[in-house]
Amino acid sequence: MSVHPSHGRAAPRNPATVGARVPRVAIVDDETVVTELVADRLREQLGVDVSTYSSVGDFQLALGAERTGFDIVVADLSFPREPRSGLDAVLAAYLADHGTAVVLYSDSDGSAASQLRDVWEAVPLAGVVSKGSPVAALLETVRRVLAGESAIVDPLVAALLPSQRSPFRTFEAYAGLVPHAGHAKLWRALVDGPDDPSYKQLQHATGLRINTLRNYRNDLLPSLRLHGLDNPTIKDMQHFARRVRALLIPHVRAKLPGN
Amino acid sequence: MTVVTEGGRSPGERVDRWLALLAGPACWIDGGRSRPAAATASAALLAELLVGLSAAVAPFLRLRSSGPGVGLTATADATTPSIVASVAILVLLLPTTAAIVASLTGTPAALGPLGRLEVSSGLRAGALIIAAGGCTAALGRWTMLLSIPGGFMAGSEAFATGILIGTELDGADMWKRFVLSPVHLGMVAGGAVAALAGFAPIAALVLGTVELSAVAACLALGLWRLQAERDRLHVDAAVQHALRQEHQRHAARLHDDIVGRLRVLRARLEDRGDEVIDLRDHVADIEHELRVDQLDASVRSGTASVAELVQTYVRFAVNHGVTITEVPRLDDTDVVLEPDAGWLLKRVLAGTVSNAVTAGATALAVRIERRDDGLLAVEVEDDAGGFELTDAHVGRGLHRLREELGGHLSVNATDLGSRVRALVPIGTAR
Repeated sequence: MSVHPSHGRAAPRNPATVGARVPRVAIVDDETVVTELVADRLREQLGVDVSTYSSVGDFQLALGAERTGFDIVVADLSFPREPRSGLDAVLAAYLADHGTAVVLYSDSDGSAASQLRDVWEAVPLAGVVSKGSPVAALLETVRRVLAGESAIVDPLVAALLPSQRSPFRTFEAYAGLVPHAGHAKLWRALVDGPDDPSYKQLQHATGLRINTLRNYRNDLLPSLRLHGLDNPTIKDMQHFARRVRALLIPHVRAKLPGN
Repeated sequence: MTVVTEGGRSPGERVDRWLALLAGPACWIDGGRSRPAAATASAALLAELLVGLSAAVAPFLRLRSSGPGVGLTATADATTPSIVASVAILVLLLPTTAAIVASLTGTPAALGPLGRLEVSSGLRAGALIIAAGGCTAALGRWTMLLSIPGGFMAGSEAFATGILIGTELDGADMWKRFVLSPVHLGMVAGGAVAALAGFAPIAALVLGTVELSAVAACLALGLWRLQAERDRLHVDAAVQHALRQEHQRHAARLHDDIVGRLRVLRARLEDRGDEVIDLRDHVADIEHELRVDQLDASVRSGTASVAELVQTYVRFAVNHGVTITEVPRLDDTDVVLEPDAGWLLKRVLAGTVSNAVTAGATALAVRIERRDDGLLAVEVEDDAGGFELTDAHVGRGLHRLREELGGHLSVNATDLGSRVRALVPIGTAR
């Protein structure tokens, strides 16, 4: 996956303007019962062409294979049975085509709340719908997106999302957390390494000196504050890194050629 | 190497590792690693307190001793350096103790001025040199042995620092670091100054160096065993931690499964039309109760945010067919509440939203504003026809709540319903 160099934010393409062809919608969700139900309703009520994917990996493969792409991607965030999360799916759709309208259809409890906020600020979303809302709310959101609306927020998740997106938390801005290869090694070790690592363990994982690692952490403190982390511990940084793994790793890879 | 303190201050000064070791634990508690076990830190604290106090008192023992076994008699000349040595050792001891206590309580601010007390590398080095010089001058050739507690103090501090640094110091490493550290070298330098100034013989300096090195060697040997024990305890703690996390994951998975199944059931029921609408509401209530149970646990533990509370009751209203016209955004809801404030806000939201739903509201607006005076202004407006706080059926709960909020709860009639406004003290919300 390559990191898109643009720091600007392209508005999602208006799916209503796709011409005469039937709009294409992808649903990425591992809850197949709900997925099938939503897909049937979308076909019946909105007359769209719906493809369903029960894993993020399948969706990413399909994105690579599809020629025309999707006009709307409806994605869940939680995929507990696979290493990837819905954030990978959203980012893949965004990087494949900045014009794709992405609608998040996700739980909004517990850890999902922070992740919802991460996605909301990282990628321009067409809509966010809580799975706690009736299915009709999702259908209505897709209908409005097809009509050209954007940034539609379900009342159930509104309290979890800021009214203004921070310009420092866009996907492109995550590059600021990886100024050079040394920081990339630190992030990679935090993402892939053992839980709650000591500096000694990080030293083994990165090949960097402990003092150097401490300095790297210090370098990152101002940037991390923009992500709501005030003087985080290594454990906090690891939790954050794993939460935003999909947004961070492309920048890490860009700084570590050959990895 | 940049020294980082717990409070997030980065003085920007770059000092070498040895100077950082001299600067002591406060420089190293940067949270980059889990804090040492309370028992370990307590033991270090106790050892340092006892040994340090012994060291501070030691010079006075010399003043009191006059027997032939010791071979010295108190003289007026020794009084001043004794006092200087005692004060210097206490100056060295106090900030270190404060730092360890602060690390145990989790926040230096909790200790007030003591917890905020810091010591610069210069002050510590100065204190050490004065202590060494004072002790050497005050104590005679043989009574140098009385300064052994001083060596223990310096050694135990280095040990405590090693623990807090988090590096895996082994015995040989500890020996090397201690002998070459400014802690040790500073004391030797102090002794040299005292010897050159004629306060003490060169032999005392040599003896002191040998004695301190012996102390360090003993410490290094002891450290080997302590290190092994610490590693064993870490493994045990890690296993316990892993088990706890696994348990929590199971609980969360179970909860998510139940909620997920209910959601599927509700979606299917929605598909069947109005004849099962009561059953759908019933399922929605079960889902709400499960979520409230989870919310109660969050409130109890002081981890519930305003957003979480709002979300729970907005969901309840939506699931009962109420259209939400206004919801506060994260700008005002990104506040984690202490348990007392959490319960109050929960009761305000539960009371107002439940009343509105029960009274047949079709639209609901929830507004929240975080005020500068430490209060959270909560407003819930519905179109359910209105009520009075004195209404026995509807207003009783809110009436009681108003008393608990010191009267800061009011109900106003609107064109279609009512607007309840409450001020909830959020205290030390994070």
